[in-house]
Amino acid sequence: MRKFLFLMAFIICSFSFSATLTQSWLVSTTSGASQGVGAGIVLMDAGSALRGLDFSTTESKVFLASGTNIYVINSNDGTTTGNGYNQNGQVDVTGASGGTRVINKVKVADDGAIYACNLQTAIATGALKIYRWANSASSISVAVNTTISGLPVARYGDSLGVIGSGVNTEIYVSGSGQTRILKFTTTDGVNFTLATTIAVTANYGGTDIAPVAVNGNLWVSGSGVLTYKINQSGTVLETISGTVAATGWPVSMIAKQKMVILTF
Amino acid sequence: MKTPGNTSGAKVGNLINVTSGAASATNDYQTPTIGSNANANATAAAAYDSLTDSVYFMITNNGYGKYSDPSLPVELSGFETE
Repeated sequence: MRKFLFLMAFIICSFSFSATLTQSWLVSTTSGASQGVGAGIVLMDAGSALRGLDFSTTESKVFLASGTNIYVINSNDGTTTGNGYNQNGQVDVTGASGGTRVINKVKVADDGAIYACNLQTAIATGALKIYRWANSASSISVAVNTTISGLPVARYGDSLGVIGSGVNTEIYVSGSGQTRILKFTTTDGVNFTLATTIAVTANYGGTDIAPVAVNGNLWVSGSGVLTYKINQSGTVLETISGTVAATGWPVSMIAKQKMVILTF
Repeated sequence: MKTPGNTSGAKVGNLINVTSGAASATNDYQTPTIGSNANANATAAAAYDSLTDSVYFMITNNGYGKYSDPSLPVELSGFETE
């Protein structure tokens, strides 16, 4: 109990004020150039190209989904040089095709495997595809290639959540305005099939899905709604207060003990 | 996102610890301004780097970067089990 009280006191003392994060490096259209970044940077464009990002603790690299590619970023300095399948800062996307955006979101599993999904606005007739790489230097494989009819909303691929390792890896996908979260599982760690659809209130999970544990609860966020923790049945267990992350366009992600909520 | 963004520029990142299932505004961390463009598709992404206690932000149409603070609350990992 004393340990618990000490810990609580430490928490209160540590976080009773807001702090400014120190910038290590930044590639920004504001500056028109990179700050603290060397050669081989990925420049932002005006076409909303970059929509996905994740970090691999296995490789200590950052992955950026650009709509058609995944850039491999050195987490120490923001550069792309010498990284990836072709050493040009990109993963292998040979054969990737289909969807409004071929590669929309990217997430890294606990074992370092990289997963990316396309953005499909008509899943009944156009395939939702999820690609897999064992690591950033590996060849691409197709983990999911499926059309699904009968769903109330057709759009999938705005959000992607991945957790677990190998045969215990789980993939969650949803989309803007969506009332379902698709859950994919695997028996070989490479090929995935639809395990279940989780019914949710519209947009719960439309922006981001952050699994807490394998076959466990999910933190979800979406446009026009708050950030919630739901269970595997879609029941809301907890809600992040609107005073912390107001209804609008929050984007959240849990990584180990943290949730990062962007408000903008 | 299908709906055009309602943002006037990306500027803030809130880092919230939810190990206990709760979140508090007192845990907010602010970033310097990442960009000033309208986020036409109003989407972004974030990731936590447990190796260096850093966070990565990407704001569509604005930029991406790495931010850190030595006081990031990694110590709370044992909170739920106490």
